[in-house]
Amino acid sequence: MITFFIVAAVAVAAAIGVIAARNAVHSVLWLVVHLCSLAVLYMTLHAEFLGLVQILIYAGAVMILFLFVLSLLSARSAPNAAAWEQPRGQTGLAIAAAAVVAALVLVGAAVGNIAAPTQGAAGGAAAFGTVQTFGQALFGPYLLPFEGTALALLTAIVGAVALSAGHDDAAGRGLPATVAAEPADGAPIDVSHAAPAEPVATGGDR
Amino acid sequence: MSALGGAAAPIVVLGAGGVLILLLDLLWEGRQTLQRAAALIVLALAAVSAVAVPGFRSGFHGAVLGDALTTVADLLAVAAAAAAVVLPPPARWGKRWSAYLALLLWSAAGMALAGGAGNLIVLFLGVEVLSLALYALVAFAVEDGRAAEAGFKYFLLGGLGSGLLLYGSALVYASGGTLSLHAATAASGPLGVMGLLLIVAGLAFKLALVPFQLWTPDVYEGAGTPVTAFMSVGTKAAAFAALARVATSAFGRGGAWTGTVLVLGVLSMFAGYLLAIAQPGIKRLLAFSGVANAGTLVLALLAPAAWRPAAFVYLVAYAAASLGAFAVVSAVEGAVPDPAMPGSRLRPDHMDNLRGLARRYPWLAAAFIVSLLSLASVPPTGGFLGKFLVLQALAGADHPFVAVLIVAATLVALYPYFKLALACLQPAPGGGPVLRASAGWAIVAGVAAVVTIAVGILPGPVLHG
Repeated sequence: MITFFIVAAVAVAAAIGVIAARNAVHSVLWLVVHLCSLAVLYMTLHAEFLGLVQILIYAGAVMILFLFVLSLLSARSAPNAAAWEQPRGQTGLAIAAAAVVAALVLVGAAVGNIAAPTQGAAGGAAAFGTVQTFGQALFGPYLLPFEGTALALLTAIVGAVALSAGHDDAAGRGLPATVAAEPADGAPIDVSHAAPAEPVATGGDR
Repeated sequence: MSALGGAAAPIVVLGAGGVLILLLDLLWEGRQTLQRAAALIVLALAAVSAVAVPGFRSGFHGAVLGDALTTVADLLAVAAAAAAVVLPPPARWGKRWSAYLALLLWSAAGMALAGGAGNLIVLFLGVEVLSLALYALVAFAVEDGRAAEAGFKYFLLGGLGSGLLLYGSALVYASGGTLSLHAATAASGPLGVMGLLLIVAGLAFKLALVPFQLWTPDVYEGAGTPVTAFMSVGTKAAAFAALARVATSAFGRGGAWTGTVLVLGVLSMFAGYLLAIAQPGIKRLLAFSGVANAGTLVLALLAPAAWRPAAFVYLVAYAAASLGAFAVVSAVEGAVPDPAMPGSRLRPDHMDNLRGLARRYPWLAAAFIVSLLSLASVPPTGGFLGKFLVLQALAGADHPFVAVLIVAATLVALYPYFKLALACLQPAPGGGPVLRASAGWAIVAGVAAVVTIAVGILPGPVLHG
């Protein structure tokens, strides 16, 4: 129990650090601390495999990806990461809203009873958290959510690639030959309706 | 579990179909006609699997429910995606056709997931898949500032909606200890109630109910019209199906839940129609009309015993009318505008651009007017029958006051729809718009008009699932 409170306090502090840090790289480092403390929480709940996976995938791979993206973006645009726009007045409101929600949840948890999970812990307490039960759950009752997650990630990747390819097409850096060779669906498209081509966020500095 | 997982079959077909379209791009690079035909075949297969898989039943340990609500949501998502494939897009996609089609198919798969979800994880994943694909589709014409802005707005507010849904699911799980939608929504206690409220709010974002509708007009306007048509039908059908599942098991206990639905529905209905009146752009007008229609549809849930047939007819009629109307909007938008009309230079979907349509393209104008009459609930269209059934269900469920409110809102609604219908009957000084040659608009508008009338006259197949 003492472990839980210490680790939970670290997790909350790190989460606050993520949003309070001025520098985006510091935010990512706070996020690493947060994810690692979550992993410790998983382990105290006897989900050792999940805890290890949490460190490997989230604290490891995903955060590296974050850092890559950040260094790519900031190398191009924001020279001074500390000069981010600081919203005025929103900080107080956000803290108040978060406090209200937290109070509601705490009161709710104190008044109502938190039920023990009736599903998910397949295989009994002794085997819980082992690779075997994890795999059986993943490819048994949770097969559809598992595949659905894959679909969600695929959708996000294809969407992002398609949008950046659109930038390149329009900037004439794609393969204009294929664009011109596209069999038109009728008469040429009237482009006079298109809004004046304003440079959009990341496109402006190319 | 059958080979394809029973009720999950359309999801599997759509998901795999999207991958197939991307792979076929290796063979058919840039050949949009072939790629669109392949997408239509995938959609047809998905429709068949939604209706005709033998032993249509809950699949994947109850993760997807096999009931009439799932079938309706699946079929509407597939029909909306087919309309979006057939309608010509507002710009050239070039090499990006395969990505566009794949995202459409995956978004439809997400709608099928959310519409048939039997547990909270699948519900969230479905909403996420459909939204992620739509964020990209809305912004697909990246260089158009309006499209990029719409995509970004939808991304931020949609993300907030997804967050509410996820947080609500976590609280419901904490209080009930189960992820099954049916069991979880019976959760009680403060945590469970707060979780359910957050889930309802998250779904209301997707359904564009007041006060969660703020993104709707800008996104509908900025997105390419085929995508607008797709999301106006598919997203609403899926989110409504999910909301109905949450509502019917949770609201059986009455009290606060009835009030929540009542407030959301009545606010959306009146705010939607009243705001629609002031819109000069057709897409914004139809966006607010969609808000109001979603509100009316949600009110049908107040009749716990009899909402199903009424809501099915209403949904199908709204879908047909909405797809038909947006098909004509996309035709007019891409047309060479009448130089004499002042509004046409301001925005491509300005109401003035409709003038002269009836003279130059009488059949297209007729289909448009049929759609508008259905949206305005004028007999003998499906929109009238749907609203009538909703009123009947509400009167039978001891909510005559709500029925009166719906009738009042319908009277308000006559004004914006008739304004549109009149606009395309009026003569234009320059003879009206000249459309690009394409069969896409005529096909979608024609099929939609036929379905609209057919549902109004012969609702049997829809009524009986």
